[in-house]
Amino acid sequence: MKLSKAFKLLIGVSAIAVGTVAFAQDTDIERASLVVHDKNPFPSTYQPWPSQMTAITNAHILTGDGGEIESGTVLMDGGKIVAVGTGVSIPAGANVIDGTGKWVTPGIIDMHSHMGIWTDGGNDVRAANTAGMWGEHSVWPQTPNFPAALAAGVTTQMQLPGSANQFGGRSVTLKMVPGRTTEDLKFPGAPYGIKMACGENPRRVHQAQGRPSTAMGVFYGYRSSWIDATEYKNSWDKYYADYEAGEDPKAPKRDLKNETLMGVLNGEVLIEQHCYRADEMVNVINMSKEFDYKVTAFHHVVEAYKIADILAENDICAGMWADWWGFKLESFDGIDENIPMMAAAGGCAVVHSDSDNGGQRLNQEAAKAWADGKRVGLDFTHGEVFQWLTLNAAKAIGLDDVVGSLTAGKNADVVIWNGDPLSVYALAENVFIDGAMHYDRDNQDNQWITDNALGYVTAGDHQ
Amino acid sequence: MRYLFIIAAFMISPAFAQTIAITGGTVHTGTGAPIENGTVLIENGKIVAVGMGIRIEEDARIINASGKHVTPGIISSSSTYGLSEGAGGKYGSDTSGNDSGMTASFDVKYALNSASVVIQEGRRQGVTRAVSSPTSSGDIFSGSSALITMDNKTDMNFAEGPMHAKFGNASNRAVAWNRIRAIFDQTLDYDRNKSRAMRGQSQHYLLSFADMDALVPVLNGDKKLVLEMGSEAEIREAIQLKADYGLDLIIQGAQEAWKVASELVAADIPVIIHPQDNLLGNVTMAGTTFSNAARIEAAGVKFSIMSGNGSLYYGHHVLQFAGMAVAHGMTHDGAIRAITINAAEIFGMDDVAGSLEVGKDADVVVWDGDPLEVTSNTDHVIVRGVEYDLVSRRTLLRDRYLNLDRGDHFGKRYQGQ
Repeated sequence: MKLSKAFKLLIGVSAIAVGTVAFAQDTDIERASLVVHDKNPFPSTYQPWPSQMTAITNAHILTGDGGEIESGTVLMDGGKIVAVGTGVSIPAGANVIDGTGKWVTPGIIDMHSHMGIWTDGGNDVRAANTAGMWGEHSVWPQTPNFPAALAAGVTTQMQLPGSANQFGGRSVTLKMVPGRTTEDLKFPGAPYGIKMACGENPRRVHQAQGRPSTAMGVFYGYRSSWIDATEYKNSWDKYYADYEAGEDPKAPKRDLKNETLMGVLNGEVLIEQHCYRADEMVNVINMSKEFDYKVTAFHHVVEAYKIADILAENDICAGMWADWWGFKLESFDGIDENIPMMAAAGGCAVVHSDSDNGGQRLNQEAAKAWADGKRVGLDFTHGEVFQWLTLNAAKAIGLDDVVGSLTAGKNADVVIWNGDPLSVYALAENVFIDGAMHYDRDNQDNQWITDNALGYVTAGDHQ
Repeated sequence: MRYLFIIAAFMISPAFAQTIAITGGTVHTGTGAPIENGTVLIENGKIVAVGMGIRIEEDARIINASGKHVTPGIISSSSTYGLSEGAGGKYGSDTSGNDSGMTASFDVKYALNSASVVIQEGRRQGVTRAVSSPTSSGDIFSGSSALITMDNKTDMNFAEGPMHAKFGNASNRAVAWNRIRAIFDQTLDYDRNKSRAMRGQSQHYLLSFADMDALVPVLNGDKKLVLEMGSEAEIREAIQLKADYGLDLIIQGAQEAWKVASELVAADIPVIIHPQDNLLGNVTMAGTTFSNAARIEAAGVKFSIMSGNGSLYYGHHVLQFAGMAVAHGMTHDGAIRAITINAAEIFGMDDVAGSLEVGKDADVVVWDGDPLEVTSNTDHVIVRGVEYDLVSRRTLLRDRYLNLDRGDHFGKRYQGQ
């Protein structure tokens, strides 16, 4: 059921809701207008903040994609990285920041945060499959913790619904910038993800709701949902094919839940799946093959080390804590060398937070994992370790072509640290997003306070 | 039978009798400035010498700590060590009196599991003593904690812990203070009129006799009370509570202690803080800040650092949080004291632990770098004079999977060897 290129393009045009589209070849038939649902009904209104051409010189640079430059320059202009290296010539008029003694990295990307969603609960347990819910509608842009994450060098967060449901809802990717609306914080062009959850959480929560409460019950729920979603996709594919063939088909009834899952089957929505145990992850991978979709990332993968080769082979990123374990049975086998063992297998290892506190020290968490790996012979360079916080995290949320490394042409999300960021003593001094300085540790006028915190705190109090 | 006991004592005695000399390291004694190239000498489970130029017997076991750091064993001021072995299952967690009807009378000591792999793990990470605390009972008083050694020994419960109370378990602050005071007044009344109470001639009490029995020593000043709360207003009221009832009070949480620092010093109230407690979670406690530690240190408040609620499996995280406190202005020496001697003093175990001083139990850790640095790890852990392998269930799992070649790591079993 191949659609013509032009037709695909048409479907892809986001702004057409239920519009009228006339087809030249069908002038002799009066047909209902083509139904195309907008894939982006809540578009980002983010605009980069004013910035000036800036060069950070003589800095110790971790490029975010594994590279390390002991003394170099990062040049940014127009919100983008222009050049990174040792022989960068600085154009006249550039604002020059002397980075002597400082370390410069890309902004940290937290692939798993609930910071903006928890204020609304984050879990809507009315059904085991709530794939039709969109996390962004629970985000509170005045969440007072956003500035704390920014001050810790975090520039991008994927916000996710909770893990109570088999399908929790859509993720939304945010920039750590002030805004009046959630759309003001939304990362333009970021793909959606669907939060899925394995294991104890959906079992425990839905047992209380009288729904399947075993792992087999959860997988039964998943597979039934994928069967429905596949039928839904087929009905839309047929509708568009029939329409293209000149017929006058009736559009299928819109269903938000299946629309999200159809997005997965069409390769547009990423699978972001909470899963602790190795055996369950392999079940999920097999299920993705059964229904022909791709798992982009597992989250909270405390047992990545048991199947690091399988995760690497299947090109699935693993979001991990450095050393969390034991807080529930399915986390009991978590080990401190999990992240380096995943990385050593050639896999996409990511340090994530799932915690408003932990999300303020992701650099330290990476450092812990690095040191623990080193003790068992798995050593990595500073540059490689920082990739766990940047480029790999960007890949896990589908933004590795725009952020995650100090690469010419990418967004200028840059952090200046007062020392080696793989240290407990390191603090982010300046944080740039799209070239604009959004945080300055030494200047309270350049420290964001959300509406909620205003009048309670002064700048810097919480940082 | 007696003969067997003698043999058993003989068999374990060499470990205690062993003389261990830790030489060449930077020794953080917990009492003063670090000693470079210092020696810590251990005999019969005790510290017998600390300093430079110490004579070492020929038969002593030498641990060369040159280029390394030596500290007292780390003390976890708030943990569930020995009480929780992975959540889930009826006996997975023994931390709470919830649903039992018990509040103050709940005492964790009966449930301590000396075989806990969580203790083994904490020890591997450098924690040698801990306050093993009850979690919420659902009411204000949670019950008594136990002071434990982290050596998986059946006598690990070496002292009674304090009484614990959680302010947040009341529906609001006014209820909390009124209820605490009413319970105290009733407990005093009960204690004075116990025989009448036993005959059923007393007023109606909010708590059971057993709960009040557990509170009597608190009101006599014989048992410490750890009160969990943190805003400036709450701390001020707690200071008044101490004055009114003559309590031996410790405040845990104390997020806004920096606002009341001089009053805390004057009232001789130590606090237990979580240095990373910086988020605006509660608008009546908006002064949460990373710099709480540095500010109360400067003001002279006695405090220890805990690893925080929600991270009860990570007693060793106090090292990281102490390091973060340093990043935000605390002194390095002070931060080490906050996770060793200060905790020992606050919980009344400084006669045996908390510092590298002659006569104390030999709880000693050798680190491969700055102990507060996140990239540092333990090289040697000694609890009560006995050195333990740095092995835990988690390192065994690691070793099993370090090489994913199936034949290599499971092969011996599959091949029946």
